[in-house]
Amino acid sequence: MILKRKSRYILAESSRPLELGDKRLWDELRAGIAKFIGEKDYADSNLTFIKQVDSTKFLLRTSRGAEKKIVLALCFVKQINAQEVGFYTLKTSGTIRSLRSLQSPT
Amino acid sequence: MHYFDITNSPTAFGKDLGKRLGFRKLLNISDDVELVESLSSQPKKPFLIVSQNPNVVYNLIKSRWAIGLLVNGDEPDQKVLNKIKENGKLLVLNSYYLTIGERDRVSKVQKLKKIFRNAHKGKTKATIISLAPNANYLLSFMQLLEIAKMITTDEHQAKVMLGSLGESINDIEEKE
Repeated sequence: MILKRKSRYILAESSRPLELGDKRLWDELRAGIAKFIGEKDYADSNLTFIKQVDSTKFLLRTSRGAEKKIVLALCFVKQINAQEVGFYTLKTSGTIRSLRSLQSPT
Repeated sequence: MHYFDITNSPTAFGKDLGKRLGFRKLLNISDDVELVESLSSQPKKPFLIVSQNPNVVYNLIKSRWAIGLLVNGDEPDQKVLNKIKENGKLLVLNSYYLTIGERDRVSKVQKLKKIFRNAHKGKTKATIISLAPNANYLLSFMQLLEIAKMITTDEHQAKVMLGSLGESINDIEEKE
């Protein structure tokens, strides 16, 4: 029986322009999140980078139930590429469509 | 229910950013809110008490402009908590104390949990703010709610905690 994995999408914004499509920066962010929530919870979350909306906003996908841990972990990741940065979670949702109104560049 | 946050930045953050983060308004220290340490200053706008001296707290907490007592990791005395409760003010925790550095974060969380537990036992209202000194330490409403849940260990209490600052600000504005 094939089970459909239910996901949650997180629309987040960084305090400075950040290209998370760059593998190096994405790996640093993942490491920061994994350090806070633990390796087991990180593995269970199936955190994936979906797309860069604009220079500061990006979309992540995580397993349902893990989104709150990821939201909390993003509070504590304060350095990427040896520079200070902050992450704000704008919204979480079960579909990308419902995040579309917030995705428009400011 | 309107939610507010208080920041400590040299320049106020934009209204647009506050709305994006889920707050009605981002109040800034020195623009909208004052930090008061002693009895010598008597501000005519909403203020937070940052003194550990009980005499200073007892006198300032009676003011109609007082929002409450701002604490970091220092546990306030039970008498101070009772005084805050009698005057209908708030015990204000700040998330900057947790987000500033990784070192001793576990013990800092435990300290804040203990402070909240003592306040909650004595029926003193508490709230949490970001007190962000710059954009890197700003938090959205969702993130502040998760940090509040980490401290209170209950979702309902965390929401009440975030809402109590808005109620206090509205009370002060109505009395103006």
